[in-house]
Amino acid sequence: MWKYLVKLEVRTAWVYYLFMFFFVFLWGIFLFTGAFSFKFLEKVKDQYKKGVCVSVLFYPRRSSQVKELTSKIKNLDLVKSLELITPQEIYEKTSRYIPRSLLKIFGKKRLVRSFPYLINIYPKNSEDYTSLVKTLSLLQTNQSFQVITNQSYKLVGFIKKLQWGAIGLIGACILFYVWFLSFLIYILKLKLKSQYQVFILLGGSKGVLKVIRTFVCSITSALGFVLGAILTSWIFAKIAYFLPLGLSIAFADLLKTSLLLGAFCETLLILLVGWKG
Amino acid sequence: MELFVLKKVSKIYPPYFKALVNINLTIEENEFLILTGATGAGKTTLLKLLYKDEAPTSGELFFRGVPYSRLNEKNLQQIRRKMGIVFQDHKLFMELTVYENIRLSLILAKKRVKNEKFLIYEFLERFSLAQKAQKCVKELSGGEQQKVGVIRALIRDPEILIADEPTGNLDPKSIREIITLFREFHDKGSTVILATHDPVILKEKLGRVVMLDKGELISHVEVPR
Repeated sequence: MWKYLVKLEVRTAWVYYLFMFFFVFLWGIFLFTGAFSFKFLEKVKDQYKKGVCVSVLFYPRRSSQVKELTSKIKNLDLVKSLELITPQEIYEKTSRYIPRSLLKIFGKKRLVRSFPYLINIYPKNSEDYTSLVKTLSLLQTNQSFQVITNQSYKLVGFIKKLQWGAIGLIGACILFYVWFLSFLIYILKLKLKSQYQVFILLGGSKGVLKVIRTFVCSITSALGFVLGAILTSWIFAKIAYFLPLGLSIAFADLLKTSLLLGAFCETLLILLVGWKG
Repeated sequence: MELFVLKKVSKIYPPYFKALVNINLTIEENEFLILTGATGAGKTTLLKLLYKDEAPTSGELFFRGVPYSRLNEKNLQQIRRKMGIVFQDHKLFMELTVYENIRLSLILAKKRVKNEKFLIYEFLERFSLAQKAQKCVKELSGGEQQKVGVIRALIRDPEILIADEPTGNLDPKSIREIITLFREFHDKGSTVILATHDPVILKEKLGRVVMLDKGELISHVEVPR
């Protein structure tokens, strides 16, 4: 019976199933593009987030002043962590760029003494960056230090906005998917209504028909999802490889993400067919 | 024993087409009932009510004493498994072969048949369709489709056989074959309900003739065999 019913379902409505396959395939590509964009942006954001810090060049009169200042900064609410780089460390990092003649004239000790302490201050949130700069500027009035800012936080903010856009796109995609599939299942039901009415009149059950439709719909859409996932993952893995952003996202990693998303959408479809089919 | 009882049954199709009006009818077990009347008299509608393809607008229909309105899907499924229905418009599965159409009917009836294939081919042979067993139904002529529809109903060896104009597109030889088969079924103890206006069948005096006209039951004629 199952064999005959599958044959009946597929032969009568093969055009609709072909349409469903192409829809799921193309829609899957669209959805995975949204999801992968989100993932890409996350990686880029993580990279720039590392650079979101306020640097302070501090010229202390006494060495105890450094401890005082760092503990003061640490106690600020907006500060997540800080990194203290001593003049000695600065010298070591920059010595190869210092002209030999300068070293000869001043000597290492004198040069090191003229170097400041560098304090890199990381905010708890990139949104707190400007507030932190303002707070540090207030401290500046009593101390001999200089605040140096960078623009990474603006980029991180922009990437966050883009990520929200990607989430919106995925949400809209899923809503459209549910609506369109409901419509397609309705059309499918209309197309096969008379055939299945006969099946019922001959003593068949509606449950069997639902199982058949769910089975055929699942196979068709799963095929569309898997092919869409493979294609999109391959394209994005190539893009990640060639983009000069230092991103390394493996094809397998992308495929896993897309197949998980596909499985979620597949579950939605099965529920839809069970409900409306 | 009463098989079907119709009490003041009416069927009105929107907006206001009276297909059946106040029908009171009792069909006994092992009866051969012929419904006749002109086209549009309400024969098909009455049969549809019997196999619950449609529900009456008013009145009640009883199956072995139980009102149809109290039956759930499962009960209806079991009743339909006992029925063999020949539809006026055949209602075959067009994408399946002749053999598959008949086999599916057997499967749905949950009848255990020893040599299923042999039985199907025996029936097909009787209607000269054995050569076309593996052909898709949509490739057959109207008459051949009708024969397949009849075989599909008869092969289940049903307790109740409901046939709506089963001889409409058939040649005299096939009509004779069908009449013989229906008679055999009735003699074996099945109830046969047949809607027709075919004079050949009416002349056969197979059983009680009930005449419908514009949805109303106008006469019962008991025909002794």
